[in-house]
Amino acid sequence: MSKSVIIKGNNFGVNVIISPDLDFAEVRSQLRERFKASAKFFGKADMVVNFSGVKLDDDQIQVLTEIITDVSDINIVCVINSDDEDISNDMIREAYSKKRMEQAEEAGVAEREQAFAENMNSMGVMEAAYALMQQSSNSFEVSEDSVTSAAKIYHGTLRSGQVLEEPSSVVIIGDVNPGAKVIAGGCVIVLGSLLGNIQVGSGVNMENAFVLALEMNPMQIQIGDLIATSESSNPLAALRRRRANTVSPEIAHLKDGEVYIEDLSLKVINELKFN
Amino acid sequence: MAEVIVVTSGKGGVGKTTTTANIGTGLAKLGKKVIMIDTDTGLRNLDVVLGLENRIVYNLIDVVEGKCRLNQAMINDKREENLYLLPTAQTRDKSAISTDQMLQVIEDIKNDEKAFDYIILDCPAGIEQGFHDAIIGADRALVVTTPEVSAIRDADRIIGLLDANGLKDHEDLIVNRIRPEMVEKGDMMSLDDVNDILQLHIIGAVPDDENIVVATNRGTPLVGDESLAGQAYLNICKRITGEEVPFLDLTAKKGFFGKLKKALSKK
Repeated sequence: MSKSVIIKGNNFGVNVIISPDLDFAEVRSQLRERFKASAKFFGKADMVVNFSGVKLDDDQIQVLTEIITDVSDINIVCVINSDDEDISNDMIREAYSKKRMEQAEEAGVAEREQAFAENMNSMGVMEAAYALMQQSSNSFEVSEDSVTSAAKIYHGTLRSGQVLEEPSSVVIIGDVNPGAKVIAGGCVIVLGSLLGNIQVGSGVNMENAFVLALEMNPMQIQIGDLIATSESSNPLAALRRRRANTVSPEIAHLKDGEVYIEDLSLKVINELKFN
Repeated sequence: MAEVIVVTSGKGGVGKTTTTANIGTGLAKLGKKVIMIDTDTGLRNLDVVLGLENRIVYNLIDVVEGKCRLNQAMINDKREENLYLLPTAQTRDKSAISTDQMLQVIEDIKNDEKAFDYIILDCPAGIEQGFHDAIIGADRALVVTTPEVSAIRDADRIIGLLDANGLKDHEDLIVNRIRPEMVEKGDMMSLDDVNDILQLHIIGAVPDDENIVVATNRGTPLVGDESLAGQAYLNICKRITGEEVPFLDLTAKKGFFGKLKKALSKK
């Protein structure tokens, strides 16, 4: 594995995978970069943060958590270091309730009851979150059902230089501009113009992975290990096509070991085997 | 309290400095108290475009290093009494100032007894230290681009960085150097095309006008004069102050020779 800090979102929080041969200063700066880049994507969500790959001491966890809250608006409800053998489901739940209690304390006695009620409601979610995290933190590979598992939805335009990386499938409501990059374990659906770079199907189901866009004009598409590059096109001509409304949705997928791009139709969808 | 506006673009040579000079001068002409800060340390130009080059004694870096008071480094414009320039050093580079120091300078200017309405920062090209210094204290950003693919790409990158640095929804786009006849022929992107790609509010469109070159060389910004570019810049200034101004028809006026050419070509 390369020397890096990788962040992977899931439905309940975020997995921070730290390469063990990285020194802590480097971990700090990379973590700051990663979270800064995806701060907008995460928004103000309540999240469970799981540090995995290395065993961290309390001070280190404190430093890293502060970095995350510093560069993003994420509300960290609980921190886990999954390489810590002693961690158990109960401990997480306990940490989570304690956190909620503290919040309630700050908010005043009147709101405490409400926080407790919320806490009870979140219990089921927490269990699911932990199960999911165990699954993904034990093996750093993308889970097997990455193509069909729940997709992330991203609202907004991805601009040049921005990278959206998800272990699952992704639906982008907006454009992927030239110079932007989307990396998804599963499939990608772009409800807009795909003009940047895209990489899908890094999971094991790469033969099922596809990219669908209302306007398909990417710089490069990578499905699994196969990279297809577009002919360099005249941007003015592309704009004219858009103006003239002659742009139609297309789908890119693997066929006979090549990346195929064709008009979207029921036939193509039916041909792609889903489990 | 002064509003801090950064004029930025990513790509060099699209007209950041000319735009800064014209918007600063234009806002002063509208009766606002304005100071422009050149943050392009080592490659300063704003003083030249304003014709104030010879008056520079102290600069931004001197202020930061405590070699002079803020007031000593501010240069009053020769035409607009409401307009000031805070130049930067030509003999230093971008590492001469940090983002914290820049914030402090902006804070000091906000509290200055001159009570400025606008602080306008001329940002250097690129996305390095100088860019971060220029945007750190900004309340809003004007992204300058030209209707060329390379400039648009860089503008897109810059908008992403501005978004990530807390300026999302406080950005406006200025499309510079439009050549209406090329747009008509389909050889240049139109405003609609630019808007299509960048999806950012366009606050102004400035035609490619040779009067700009003349004005820049002479050191007198043309904002507010009868030229099409001069009017376009003044309209941008009015929009910055919140006034609603319709967009100029850039194809309308072509001057006497343009009309003559058009008449001849019809025959």
